[in-house]
Amino acid sequence: MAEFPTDLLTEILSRLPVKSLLRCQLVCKSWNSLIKTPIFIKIHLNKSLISNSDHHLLLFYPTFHFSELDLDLDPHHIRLSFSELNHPLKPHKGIQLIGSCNGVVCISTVSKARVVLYNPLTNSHLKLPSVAIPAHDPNKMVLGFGYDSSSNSCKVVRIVQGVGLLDNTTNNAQVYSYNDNSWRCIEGIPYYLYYGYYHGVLVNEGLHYVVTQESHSESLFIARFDLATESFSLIECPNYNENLMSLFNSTFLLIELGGCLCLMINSCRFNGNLLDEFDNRVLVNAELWVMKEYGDKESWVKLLCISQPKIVGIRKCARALVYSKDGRRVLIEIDGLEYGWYDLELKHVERIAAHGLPTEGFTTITLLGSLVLLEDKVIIERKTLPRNNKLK
Amino acid sequence: MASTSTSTLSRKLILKSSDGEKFEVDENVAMQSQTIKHMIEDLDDINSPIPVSIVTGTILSKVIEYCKKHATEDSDSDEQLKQWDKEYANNMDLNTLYYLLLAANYMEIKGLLELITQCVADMIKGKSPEEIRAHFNIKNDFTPQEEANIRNENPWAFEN
Repeated sequence: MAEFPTDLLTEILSRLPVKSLLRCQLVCKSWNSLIKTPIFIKIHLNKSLISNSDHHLLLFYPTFHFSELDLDLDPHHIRLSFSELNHPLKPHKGIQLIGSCNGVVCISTVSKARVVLYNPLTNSHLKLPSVAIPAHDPNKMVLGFGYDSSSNSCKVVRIVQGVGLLDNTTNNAQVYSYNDNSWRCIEGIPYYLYYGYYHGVLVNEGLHYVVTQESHSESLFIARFDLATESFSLIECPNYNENLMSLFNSTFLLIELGGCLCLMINSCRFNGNLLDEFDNRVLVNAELWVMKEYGDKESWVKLLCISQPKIVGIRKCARALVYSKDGRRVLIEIDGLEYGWYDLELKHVERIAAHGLPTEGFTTITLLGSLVLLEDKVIIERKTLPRNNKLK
Repeated sequence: MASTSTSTLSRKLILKSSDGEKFEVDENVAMQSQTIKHMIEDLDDINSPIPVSIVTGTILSKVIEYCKKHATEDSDSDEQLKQWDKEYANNMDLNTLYYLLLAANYMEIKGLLELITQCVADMIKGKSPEEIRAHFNIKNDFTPQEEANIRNENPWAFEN
């Protein structure tokens, strides 16, 4: 058997997960240089996006961990094994996870003054320049990260909103574009952010935030920030049970699941001492709504509802992460402490064995494995990365 | 000239391998190869053998076996066809797979190309660099220092 012609080798190797490709780089020089070419990286990314394979879970708090998640396996056989990552914001603690797209995660320090794009599987990263406009005591500052195919660039948005005691308002926004490697000011968000700490959720090349149209209103909407036009628009929420929501303390989480925009509502009641809010929270109802047809408010469907969380052992909150390969189960993060499969037919939760989890509450995001390279001046000076590989 | 009317479905074509072996096949079987499809469009006499110049008789018979199975669309369910594909590919040794891959590429048979590339990819998946080299008989041309450097770039990938 002779060597594989390059185009056929590309066809073969681009079907592999990142872990295998990193091993293949060690097979011989010709495989190594093929895998490092920008065109191979792009073909591989496109294949992975289509086949929706090579998933990883990333979790933060207080340290940054990751685990492979092989959805090709039977859900019963999936084991998670987390190991700590040497992220580029070390030694900062309390890192925030902004979002993940095309194998790249956006992370920031708590103050959001330092923002980094980072491929955790290859350690390639880029420190974003600092934003020229300081944020004066905003009570709300959220970010968002996504890819805009119209400009072929990934973008980070920063939305700053604050209402002072004398009604002196702050409302501005900036966009960072990878191609320009700089921040630009844009029109601020024309709505009121409902939460000052939930970053944008990426669906359909738009970042989504829970908002209200009037200050202090409880009538919720979803704001979409379009990454191409860099403007905001409104999406209506599903018709959830408002009585239930007003009786209990509800948290509205936007989620991306199977390419659809979802709204997860966790409703809690408090037991005893209100001062220790989190520890005394008891979940009474958790439900997940899916917008089947993006932008069509008639297409909201309630996918799951856990109304007797005691039976399934969820105490405070549940968060959906990803569908199983056959679409019959949803992986959920339980109480920020463990993971389980929610079976959509049997309506029960099965815990997953996970090793190396931190003992404190964490937040998880899913990551698609990719070899996407991020140009970073510090790295280039050390000559460990080719100069002209851009994130495409 | 070849026409697209339904009567052509039962027409026979003769494919000739690089080592001169001749195979008579139904037109709809052969037409799964884009290369042959284009060749017969330009052919005046469809009764003369069509040369498949770089493919040997042994490999061509395997290609035809695949095309025959996939020419009759409604006889099997998707699931059954997938199972058949799997067994078909698993019964090949690496050498046959290699030449089958070249043939599928040359003859432009998309389904077969995808099947074989995925099959080879599955062989690589989960193996260490040493195991991959041994499996595909590839010579290690790195110095020990170069090898150590690559390992250190992403140590997580080399853990089991």
